[in-house]
Amino acid sequence: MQKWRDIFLNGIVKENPILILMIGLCPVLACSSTATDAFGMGVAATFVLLCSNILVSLLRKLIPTEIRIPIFIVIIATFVTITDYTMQAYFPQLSENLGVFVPLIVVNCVILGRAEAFAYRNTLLASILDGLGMGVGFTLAIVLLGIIREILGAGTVFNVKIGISNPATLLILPPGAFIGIGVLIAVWNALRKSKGSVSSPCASCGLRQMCHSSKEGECEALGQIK
Amino acid sequence: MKIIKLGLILLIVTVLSATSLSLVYLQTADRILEVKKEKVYKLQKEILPLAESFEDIDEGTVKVGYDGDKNEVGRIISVSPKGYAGNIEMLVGIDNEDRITMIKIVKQSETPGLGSQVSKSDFLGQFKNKNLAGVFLRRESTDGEIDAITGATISSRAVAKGAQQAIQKNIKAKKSAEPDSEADEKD
Amino acid sequence: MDLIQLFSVFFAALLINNIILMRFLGLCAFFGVSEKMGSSIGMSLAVAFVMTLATAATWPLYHYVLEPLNLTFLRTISFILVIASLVQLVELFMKKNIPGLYRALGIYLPLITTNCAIFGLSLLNINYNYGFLESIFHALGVASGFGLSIILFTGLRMRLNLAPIPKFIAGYPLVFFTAALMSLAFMGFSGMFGIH
Repeated sequence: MQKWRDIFLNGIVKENPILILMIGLCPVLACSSTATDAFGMGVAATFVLLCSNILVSLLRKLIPTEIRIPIFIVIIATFVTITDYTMQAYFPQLSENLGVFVPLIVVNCVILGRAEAFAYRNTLLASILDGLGMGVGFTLAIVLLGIIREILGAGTVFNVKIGISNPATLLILPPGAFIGIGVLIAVWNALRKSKGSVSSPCASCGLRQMCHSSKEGECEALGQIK
Repeated sequence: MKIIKLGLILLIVTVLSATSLSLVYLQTADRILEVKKEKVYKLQKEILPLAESFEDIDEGTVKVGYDGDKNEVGRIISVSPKGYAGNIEMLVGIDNEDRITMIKIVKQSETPGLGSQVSKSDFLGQFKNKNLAGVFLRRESTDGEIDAITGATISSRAVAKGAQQAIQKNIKAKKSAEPDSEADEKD
Repeated sequence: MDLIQLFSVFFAALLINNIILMRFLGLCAFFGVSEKMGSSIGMSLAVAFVMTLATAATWPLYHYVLEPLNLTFLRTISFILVIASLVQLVELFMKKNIPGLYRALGIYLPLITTNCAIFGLSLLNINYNYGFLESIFHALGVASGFGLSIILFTGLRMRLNLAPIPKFIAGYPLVFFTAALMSLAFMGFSGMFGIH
């Protein structure tokens, strides 16, 4: 029981993809100007992550090692397209707001990273829990950022007015995204009293192997320059 | 040999994925089209509430609205006046007496928080039922009845200008259509 | 297609809709390799190269294959596969035939296989209904915008390394605040030349 709980909580706290690993930031910054958009993005990414984890884990014995990355990409792209079309059909407004970032889930390092680092090596149940944990961790971080930005920048939360008469519009504009995530990470670091939790941006990137990295968590490009 | 086997596996995966995607596409395509059509219709209906059906003329830049008995009740003109940051794309609804029914901003990139307020109903509501003389800024024309947004005169002026263009365009289009109809009557 | 329109596409992509600071694409590379000037210049050149190539490959793919055959639902999957294999091919070709260039840029190529800026650009070209030439100019503008912002950013980061910083904002939070100020500065470009 303890083991399953640890796998699930790993993605939310210890290895939160956004706040700790800082990967897959693009949609977090771009889709967090309102809490509603942030939640939509979080659910969409979680769905793709969960489905790809399940399929990769089920097929892990059948996928040849040499071509696993292309196969992962095809699997992820399939689920992303399914999400994209479903969203266009049933949530047209959300689909319009998120725009190009829905198909862009395909290049989100979190998803490829989990397929490569976890689902390909673990059982179905563990992969489901890992996908859920990572997805929830991603969603929590993006929604938190969305709520902060929407309250301070537009004076609403989930489109409900909360009586801030003079909101700081800057927060819902592009610079606000950078400020918001910076503050969030600073607070998170202070709370965790972490000793240099900053990890390499490609620490859990699924393409590590393709980078021919010599050291764990360090891409060849980064390594050579240093 | 190995390469052929790997290639074959990749091919099978891709074909399976493409097949499942085509199924999803067939399931959702009709609905997506319907949703888009409905959205356009809803917007047009909001601009010209009396109209039941719409017809595109002039390559879609003008939409004629008809009521249930196929009588023309007004037109929707698309114009894109130059704002502070790029063009403001807007739809202007005009009734048969050349008065504005409603304006909707389709796309704008004005300064957020200042110029972008032109798409709010507080500002756009001022245009309702105004004729050509009325859709000027109050401070720029004696008959003008539009109050500019504080700190966003250029954006406000651009929208007013768009409204003027739309009305003028409509009057001109009607005039050029009239001689023909008169000629028809003489015959 | 007149030249002025092409240049307005270029400058809009370079300054007004800057791919990093306004559109949030390619952030991993932006934060990952902006510690040394040499690496950020190398990265920008590699990105420019791949962006132009990817646009030249995906635009015809969409307009001459997917659209006529009514297969637009394969857009995401075909684009990502084409871009990934393109980068691999270029890497192999460079390694064999232009070793000098490979030493300078090659190490960045695998890093940008799944860079969202490349894939995002290919999608934007389709969404904006750009023609082929416009798409190429758009790609060049986006790539220059990437280069401009990452090089400026590296300069700022190198200075900040020398400054005394409170412990809890040292590292990533500070990097984000710097990016925020740059993004704020780039917002000043909106409305320039009346393009958007």
